Amino acid sequence: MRRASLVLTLIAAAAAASSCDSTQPDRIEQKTASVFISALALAIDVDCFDVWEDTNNDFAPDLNTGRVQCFQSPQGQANQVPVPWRYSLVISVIREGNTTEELIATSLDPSDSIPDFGSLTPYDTAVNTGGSHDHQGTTYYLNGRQASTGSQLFVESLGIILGPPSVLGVSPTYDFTVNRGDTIIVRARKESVATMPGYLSVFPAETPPPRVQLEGRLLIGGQEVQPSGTVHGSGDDGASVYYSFTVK
Amino acid sequence: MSLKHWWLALVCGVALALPAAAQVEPEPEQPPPAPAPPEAPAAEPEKAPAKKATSLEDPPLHRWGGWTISGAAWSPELLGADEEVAVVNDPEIPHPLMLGTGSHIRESWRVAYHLPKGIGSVVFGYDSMEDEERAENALPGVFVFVESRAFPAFRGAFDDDLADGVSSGARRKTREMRIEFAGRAFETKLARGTWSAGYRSVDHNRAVEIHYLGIVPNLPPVIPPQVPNPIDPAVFAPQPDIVREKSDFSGSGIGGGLDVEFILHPRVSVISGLSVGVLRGKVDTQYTSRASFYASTPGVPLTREELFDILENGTGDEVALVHQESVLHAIRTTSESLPAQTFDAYAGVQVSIFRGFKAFATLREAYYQNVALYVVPNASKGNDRTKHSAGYEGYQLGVSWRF
Repeated sequence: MRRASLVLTLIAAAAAASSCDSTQPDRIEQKTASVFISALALAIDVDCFDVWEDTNNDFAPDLNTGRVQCFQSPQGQANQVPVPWRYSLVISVIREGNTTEELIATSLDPSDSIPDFGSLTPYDTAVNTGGSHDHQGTTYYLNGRQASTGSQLFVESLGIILGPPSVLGVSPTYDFTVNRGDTIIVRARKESVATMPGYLSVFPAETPPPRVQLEGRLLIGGQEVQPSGTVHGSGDDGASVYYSFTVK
Repeated sequence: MSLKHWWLALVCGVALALPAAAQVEPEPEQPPPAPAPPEAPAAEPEKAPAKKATSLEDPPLHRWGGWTISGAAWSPELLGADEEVAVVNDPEIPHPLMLGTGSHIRESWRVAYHLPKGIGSVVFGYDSMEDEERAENALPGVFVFVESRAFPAFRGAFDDDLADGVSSGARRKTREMRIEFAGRAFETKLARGTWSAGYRSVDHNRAVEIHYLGIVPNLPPVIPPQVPNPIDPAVFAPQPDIVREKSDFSGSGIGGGLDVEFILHPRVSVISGLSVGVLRGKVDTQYTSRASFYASTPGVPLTREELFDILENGTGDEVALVHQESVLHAIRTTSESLPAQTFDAYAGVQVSIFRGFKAFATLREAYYQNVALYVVPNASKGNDRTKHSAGYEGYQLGVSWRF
C-alpha cells in the first residue's frame, strides 16, 4: 500500500513537472512602419503675385484674372529646400526567420492604377507675405508672397499641376504593419529630368540640369530610426535611395 | 566534461578502489555444515533470510558458461566539438559565432559470454552517438559576420569578408565497438573489481556546412527610370558563399579498463569504471569553399564602388552585363594516418531487482581524442591542419540480465 502511494506520488510529481513548460510562444509585437521620401534641391527665392487687370483704364485694377505670376526676388538667393519630384518606389519586407523578400507595395506593378512615377515628394511650404512689383500697363501685381521655386505656388503659376504630395497615393507617409524582427527594405528612384516638368529651370539656381537629391526616412511606431544603406541620394539624374532596417 | 572533472572521477575511483582492495582478507574456512536436526522448528526462521540474500545473487554458471546482456539508454551531450562558423565583428570585442551541440537519446549495448568455471568473460560492446545541429543567424543589412571558414578570396557579398547572415549545419557521429576479455581483479565482502583488455575500433564522422549570406545587400535598385522595367532584385542578390568541410576517421587498437562494484547492500551497489584505449586510424578529409564575385567583363571582378556605380548610374545595357562568377577552392586528403586515444569512465548505482536481473543509473563520460582532422588550404598555397576531439557526457539508465 505504501509502495503504491509512493508510485502515485511520483507519477503526480512527474505530470506536474512536465506541465511546467517554460518555452512559451513569443508574443507577437506589431508596430507601424512609415515610409517618407522627400527631395532637396537648390531653389531660387521668388515673389509671386495675383495678376489683376485695369479694364477701364482708371489706374485701379478691377479684374482678378485668377492667375499667379512669379518673379525672381530682387534679393533672391538660392537655398537648399524641399522640391516636388516624382519617383518610383518599391517597399518590401523580409519576415523574421526568412531570407526572401515579401513585396509590400510598389508603383511598378503594371496591373495597378498607380503610374510608375505616381509618388511625389513634398513642396517647399515656406510662403511668406510680402514683396511688390510695379504694374506693367494695365496689369497689376497684388497680394505679394515670397516663396521659392520649390513651392506649389510657383510651380502651379507656371501651369504645371503635379498634384498633392503622396507616397504611393497616400500622404504624408506610407504606413504598414510589421512585427519585431522583420526587415524593411525601401528602394526609390527619382524621375529623369528629361520627363519631369522643368520648373527648376525657369530661374536656374545652378548650371542645368538641376541636382535634385532624394532623401528617405523611416519611422517605426512614430519614432524616426536610422536605417542601413543610402538614405541621401546623389544629385545625379535618376539617382536612387535604398535602405533597410530591422525592427527591434 | 572538463579535464578537472575527469581527474576528479579518476581520483575518486582510485581512492575508493584502493581501500577496498586493501581489505582483501583470506576467507575463513567454512566449518563443515553440521547436520541439522531433521525436525528442528528453530531452523526455519534462520533459513528464510539466507534464501532471500542468495535470491539476488547472479545465477551460477552452466556447464557451458553463461551470458549477460546489458542495454542502456542515454542522452549524451556532445562536448568539445563546437564549430566556429564565423566571427562576429563586434566593434567592441570581436567574438566567434559557434554552432553548438545538443543531445539525443542513444543506446548502448554490452553482451558478455562467461566462460565455464569462472575463467573469465568475452565481452562485446557497441556504442553509437550521433548529433545533428542547425543554426540560423541573420542581421539583414548589417554586415558583421566575418567569413572565417571560407577561403580568403572573394569572400563576402562585396569581397570584403563580411556577410549579414550565416546558416550552418553540422553532423557528428561516433561509433565504438569493443571485444574484450574480462576477468576478476579482486573480490572482498565490500567490493569486487573486474579488469578487461582487448580490441576496440572507433569510427568518427563529422561534417559541417556553412552558408554565408548577403540577405539585404542594399544595392542600388534597378528600377525605372534607369531601366524600362524593374529587374527582379534577386538577380543581383549576392550568391551565398558556401563552405563544406568533413572528416571521416576509422581506427582500431587496444584498450583496457577496470570496473569496480562497491556493495552497499545485497540489493544496492555503487558501480564505477575507467577504460582507456590507444588507436591507430586513417582519416579522409574534404574541404570546399565556393565564393563569388560580380563582373561585367567575364573574369574581371568589379570592386564594390564599380558595381554600385554601374547599378546606380549605368545604362540598361551596362546593367544587363553585370553577372556573378563562382570561384571554388577545395582540397581532399585520403587515408592519412592519425593516432587517437579513447577514455571512458562512469559512476553510478546498481540495484538488483531479482536473481540475475539488475538496473543501473550512471553518469558516463566518453572522450575520443584526435579523431578528426580538418585540412584547409591557406592563402600561401599551403594547408592548415587541425586535429579535433569529441566528448560525450550524459546520464545512462539501463538493465542487465545474467542467465
